[in-house]
Amino acid sequence: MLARPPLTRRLLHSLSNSGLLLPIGLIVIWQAADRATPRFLPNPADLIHVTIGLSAHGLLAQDLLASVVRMLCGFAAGATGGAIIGIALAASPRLHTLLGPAVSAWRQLPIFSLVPLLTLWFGLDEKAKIILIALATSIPVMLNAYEGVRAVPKKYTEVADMLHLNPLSRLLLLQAPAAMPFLLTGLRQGMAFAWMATVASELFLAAAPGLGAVIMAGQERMRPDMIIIGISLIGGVGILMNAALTGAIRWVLPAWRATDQQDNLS
Amino acid sequence: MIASSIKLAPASALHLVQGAQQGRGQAVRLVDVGKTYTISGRALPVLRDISLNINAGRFVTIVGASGCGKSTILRIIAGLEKDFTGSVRIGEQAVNGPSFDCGLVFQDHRLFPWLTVRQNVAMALRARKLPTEQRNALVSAHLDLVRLNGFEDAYPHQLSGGMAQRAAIARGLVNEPSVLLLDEPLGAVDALTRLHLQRELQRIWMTKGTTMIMVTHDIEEALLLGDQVVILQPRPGPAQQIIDVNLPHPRSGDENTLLALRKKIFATLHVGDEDETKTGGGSTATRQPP
Repeated sequence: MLARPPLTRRLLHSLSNSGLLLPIGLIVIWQAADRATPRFLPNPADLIHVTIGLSAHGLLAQDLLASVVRMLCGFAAGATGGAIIGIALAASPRLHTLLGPAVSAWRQLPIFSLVPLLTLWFGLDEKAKIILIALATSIPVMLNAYEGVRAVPKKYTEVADMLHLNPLSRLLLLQAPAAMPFLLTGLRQGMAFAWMATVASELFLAAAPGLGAVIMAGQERMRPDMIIIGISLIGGVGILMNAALTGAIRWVLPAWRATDQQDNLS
Repeated sequence: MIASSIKLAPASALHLVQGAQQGRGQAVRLVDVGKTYTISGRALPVLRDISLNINAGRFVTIVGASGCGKSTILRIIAGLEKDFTGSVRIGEQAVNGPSFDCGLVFQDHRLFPWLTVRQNVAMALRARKLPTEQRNALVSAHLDLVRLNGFEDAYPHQLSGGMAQRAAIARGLVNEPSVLLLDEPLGAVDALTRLHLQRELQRIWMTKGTTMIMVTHDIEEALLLGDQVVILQPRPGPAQQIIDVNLPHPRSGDENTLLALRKKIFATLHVGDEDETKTGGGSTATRQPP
């Protein structure tokens, strides 16, 4: 029997394997080097203290919830719209001729350049924010949905031809399912874009609770601790949402993947 | 006529479902059919002056070397190829696109991976305005016909190659087409499954009475199943040869007639003296690799 390695080494080993060694190590060094840190960099222990203080009043939770809800509203609208437009463009050659050039010009436009216009039209409130988030989400979703439908293998479209599937059956039974892996990739990118746009909209168009507003308040009150807490929460939420979506994709896709492997073999 | 000697199986549930004349085979007639592909600006003829008369309810097999255009013939009859010369008729109807008269089974099963076996077969009936009950009965009857009972709810990736091909055959037949085209349907399954499915195809054809046209590169398979074997030459041209197989179905495959015909076909295709024809009389031993 081999002797079990000491606990500390096992702990270190599992930390480095999970990729947590670097961040945790940095936090430890950060805390240890407290005296040497500049004036506007609070140490981790202070941050935890402040976080608990802010949460006690329910403020952070309110901001977190406001941002997530905002993001989900914009994401839902943008993903639905993007998927519909992408699929329609790919399925209808006529629509593609009509809208194709406009769409490719639109996708090149940096979305945040629209902020001033959106503010003029919709003011500083929720409407403008959600529209910005939806627009940001829609572009990657639309492009991937389009690619997915275009990439439907000819061997399947020939089957649909032989069976006289009408456009609706074709969409439901062939194009949408075949485009699913692409669509899910688009949703993942779209969610990253949505979260980015959520924070940006809160920075540009404050005047409502949100994690972006927490950061802005921190800047105004010269409170770097608030800014760092805001950033950490934004990063954490992003990681969690991406993990959730990736998990959902893994759960949905096995049937598709099994087919690909089969096709590669034959 | 050979067709007259074929005994059809007694009326089964299939015929009760389909009612009147549906599912009965129709004749297929090709007159001077030609097809030229254009590959990077150059015309590449694959078929020229192909004329075939296929009587209703028969099983015709087409053999030939790869690249001789045999799959293209099926694709033309199926209506999947738009630009071809000559004329193709199924019954009285000229072919100018896919039609319900004609089913096609591909070499790769082409089942939709996200649909179950039952859904894949039922999909073929979507374009028909049928009452749900009748639709379900047709699907079940054809899954029974290809002996996939118990696998209705399996997904294609859960099936073996042979079972997936059975499902594809059910999908091709469920519309009760008068002609079923089979494009090397057994080309991708293993040897034992292949032998088994050949007998199954024979049984299915005898049950349904559909006109079947099958492309294969397996001469034994062509002889076992075909009332007629059409041999296409490697170079495009009208020089196809048709061999009648005057032997009643069901056949076992080891009948003397079939063995004799096999020899004859091998001779037609120059199997054995192939090297000499290719190299203009040069000896195989001294031939350099190209």
